[in-house]
Amino acid sequence: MVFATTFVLEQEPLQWWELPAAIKGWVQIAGAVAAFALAIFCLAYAIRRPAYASKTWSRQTRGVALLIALCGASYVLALLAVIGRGMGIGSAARNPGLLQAQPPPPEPVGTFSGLVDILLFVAGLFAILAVTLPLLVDLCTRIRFGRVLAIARLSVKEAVRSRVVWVFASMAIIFLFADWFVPYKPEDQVRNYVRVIYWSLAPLFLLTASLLGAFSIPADVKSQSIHTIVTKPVERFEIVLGRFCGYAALLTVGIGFLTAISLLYVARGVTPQAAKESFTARVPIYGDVLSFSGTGRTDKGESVGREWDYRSYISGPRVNMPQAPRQYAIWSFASLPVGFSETRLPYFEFTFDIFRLTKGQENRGVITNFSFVDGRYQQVPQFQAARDKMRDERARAQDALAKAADAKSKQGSSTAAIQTWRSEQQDALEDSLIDKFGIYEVTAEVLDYHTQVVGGDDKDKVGRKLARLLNMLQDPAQVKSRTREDGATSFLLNVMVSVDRQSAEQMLGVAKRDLYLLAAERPFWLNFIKGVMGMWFATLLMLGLAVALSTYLSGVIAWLCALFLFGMGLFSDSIRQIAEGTSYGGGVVESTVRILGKLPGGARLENSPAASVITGSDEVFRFFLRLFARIIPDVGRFDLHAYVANGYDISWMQVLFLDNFVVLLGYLLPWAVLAYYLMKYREVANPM
Amino acid sequence: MATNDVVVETRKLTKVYRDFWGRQKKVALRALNLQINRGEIFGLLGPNGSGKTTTIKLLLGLLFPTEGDALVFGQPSAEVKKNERIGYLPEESYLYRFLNAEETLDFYGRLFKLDANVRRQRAQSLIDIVGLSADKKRVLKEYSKGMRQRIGLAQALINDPELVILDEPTSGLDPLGTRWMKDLIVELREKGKTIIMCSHRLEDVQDICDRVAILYEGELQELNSVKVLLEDVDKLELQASGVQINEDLRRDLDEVIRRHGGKIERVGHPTTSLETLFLRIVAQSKAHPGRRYLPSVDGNKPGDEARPGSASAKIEEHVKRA
Repeated sequence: MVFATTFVLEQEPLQWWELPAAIKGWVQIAGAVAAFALAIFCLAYAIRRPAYASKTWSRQTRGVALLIALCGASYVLALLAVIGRGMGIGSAARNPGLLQAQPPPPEPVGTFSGLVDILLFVAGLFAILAVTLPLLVDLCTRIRFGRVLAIARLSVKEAVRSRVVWVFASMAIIFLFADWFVPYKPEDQVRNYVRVIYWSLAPLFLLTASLLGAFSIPADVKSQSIHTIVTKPVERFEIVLGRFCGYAALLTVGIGFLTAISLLYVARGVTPQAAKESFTARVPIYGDVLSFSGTGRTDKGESVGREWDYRSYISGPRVNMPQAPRQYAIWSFASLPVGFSETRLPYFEFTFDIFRLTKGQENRGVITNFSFVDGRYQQVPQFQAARDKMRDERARAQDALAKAADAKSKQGSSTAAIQTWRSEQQDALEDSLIDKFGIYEVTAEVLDYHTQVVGGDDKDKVGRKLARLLNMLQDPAQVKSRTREDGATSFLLNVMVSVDRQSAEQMLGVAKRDLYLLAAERPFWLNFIKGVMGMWFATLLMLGLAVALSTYLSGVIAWLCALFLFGMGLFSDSIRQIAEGTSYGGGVVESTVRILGKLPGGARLENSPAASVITGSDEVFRFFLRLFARIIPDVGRFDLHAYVANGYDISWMQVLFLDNFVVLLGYLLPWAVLAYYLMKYREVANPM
Repeated sequence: MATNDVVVETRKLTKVYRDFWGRQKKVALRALNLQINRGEIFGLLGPNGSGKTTTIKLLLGLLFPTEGDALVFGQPSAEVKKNERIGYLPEESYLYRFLNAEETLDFYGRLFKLDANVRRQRAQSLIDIVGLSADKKRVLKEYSKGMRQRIGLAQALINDPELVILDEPTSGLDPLGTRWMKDLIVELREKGKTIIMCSHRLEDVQDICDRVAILYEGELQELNSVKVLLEDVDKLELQASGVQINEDLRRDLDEVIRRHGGKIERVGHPTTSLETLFLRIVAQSKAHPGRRYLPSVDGNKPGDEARPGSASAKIEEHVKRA
């Protein structure tokens, strides 16, 4: 999908409301891993106490022991609760945690499964505290920033003097020759350049980070240089931190430098078409829900047979099926900014895919109706009835206007004056219809994979009408009446999109993020930097992973492991689908059987002992795959170049902070703890 | 319990190397009991694989004991804080070769959190002491082995340590460097520092160590002061000057020794050590540059050139007179 032509966001960024559930999932999973490690440690300690272990229990040791006891007690309670109710703990074990796109809603606290959930959370928390307590104490009392900085400086010098930075010069090849190979369409110019830059920079920095991180500490151990460091008053974790910080600083400078040059490369000679398409940073306000009507399912449109089902399709009226219900894609907005005016008009933009059932007209798009509708119309028939009524009223009023215009003409008024008058009257009529029915309709020609604004050249006129509608809908009296009888609040606005009769037999492919209210436009350069920050986070993730692995493994093995984990992270969605049994065609064994037996993927296997063996084998495989899925990073969320390439603003708080930084932290923290122990209890000297 | 005067103490210190599966590969050290006192030079002797370096690595916390205790300044060897008072010179100078001498000392000074001024002053002074002032801007990869050993010693002393642990300190040094190193070690002792060194070069240990421990196959075989260990109480040594060895002297001495119940084994001229000879020649060469060795002109074999009456002896005599 390097040269995909629209903004595709397969994975929704983490939302603030999802954060508590994500943290809970993270604590349960990380806590379970920590508890498992503690159990092994306690067992090993009981069997053979290390000679270097202190003979007296310090306050810290007593604290850790207490936390271990509390953790054990919580797990026992959870187990007793499960046994007592004869219930499995699968729901908690399947909690996907922080690194997955959409954690399921939390179980209600009052229910039994909610109680088990809380006990598992508490046990996990105690386990995490028990494991991190020594690290926290060391961080507060022993680890000194000055020494970390000294090792970081050393790492930078080492990398610079071993000429690692020269690899950054390889970008010159891209800057010089990329133009020869990039497909050229004026409107795609910026889009393609951004993609080329991203796909050049990202592998370069990821590879550099993995090499630097994986080989640094093992090289020190091999050359025994580390002896001269650990025999100084240096905490071993300071070496890990120092190496990480040093290389992170070096890579940051490298990324910063190449970003500046890349920005110049992308921004030079932007064509007007490209500037309009993507040389900006639109701040969109997306609908809260995308639903469908007339397609048979409310959550999906029709399938056009594409395996990649990011978009659902709605069809225009079918010539041979006149009675078929009209198909709508409906974007529902729960809230929108208030106070639109002449200087601040609401523009709705969209980018749709066109799937043609007939050839259509040359160089013509699909004529599409956009209806902006008061959210209180909860059913499509309600809306259709009101709309028809509105159309009748409009027709009558327009007839009256025509007659009045004729009368004015007969009275000798000039044509220009009549047109002005008529236009004003028409405008007033539309306003009164909006006020009365809460509906505003626009018809537009949709072009394939182009970012367009509703209203096109008349976007200001449409914007004024939409401002009127939105201001009316957000009037406090109106808001109050939006509370339904069942206590729920209806949506503020529905945007209903359907294919017009003029484009019968054509289909529109839509996704949730394909239509939005344009809240603002920000400078491209800032968005470009934000996009690079996503790549920077991914680089830090790779670096952290490689450094953590190198505290125990040799350089080559650490490097391969880091690449493997990161590489698997690129396919984390597919792996999770297989692990959770939601993949098309079943698990590994089942899909193999299907391929060999030439069975269709959607068909159910016959009920037989063989089928039980097949699905049972897959279940065992899935269990291990679920464990594996916990430790692979979800690297897809750090790829923000699609935002930049398509001209969509990357939100500081929601995308960069919550979805990138917090997730990065959540992933690297357990690795940091692991690195702390591996380094601390490692014999850095070779035997003899 | 270690007292104030005991700097290093090991109690039944044992190290067993195991493979990945925990199977025993080798017992590198077996129940070693040692006490090293403040202000002494302590030597660890033994053939390869006897456990000398393992002992040092255990004391430094680079390895963890399988059994027993290793206490340094009364603290367990794994305790990092003790390292503030320790300087360590590894067998090879495993320093960062991309740094120059100044940067190396600055880096290690930072690890001790030394103030920038102190760091600079100490680095400069140590560079002067180890004789690398002219090469302080060269990166270490350009250094000879002896130079690396010198800068290695400088880094070991950057924190002005109370305990200096030297693993093969004279390794890679020429005789001049070896003498310099030995003098420096003695000087450190005079400043009240405790030194632990292990070496294959027995003459080095003999020259400067107060006490030595001899290890073999991981076990302590001998531990005492060098003087006591080397003294052969069954034999008598007499040195005299102003007399020539002849039959009368031999007969008189024999008579005296026999009267006291002994027996003469050998009467002859004492020999100096090769190191002393080498140092003397180098010192003379510095004072009087030029070729001293002249080849034989009358068919004498090598080694005969200075024999009285030989041609080369005559030439040498002539040169001296000139």
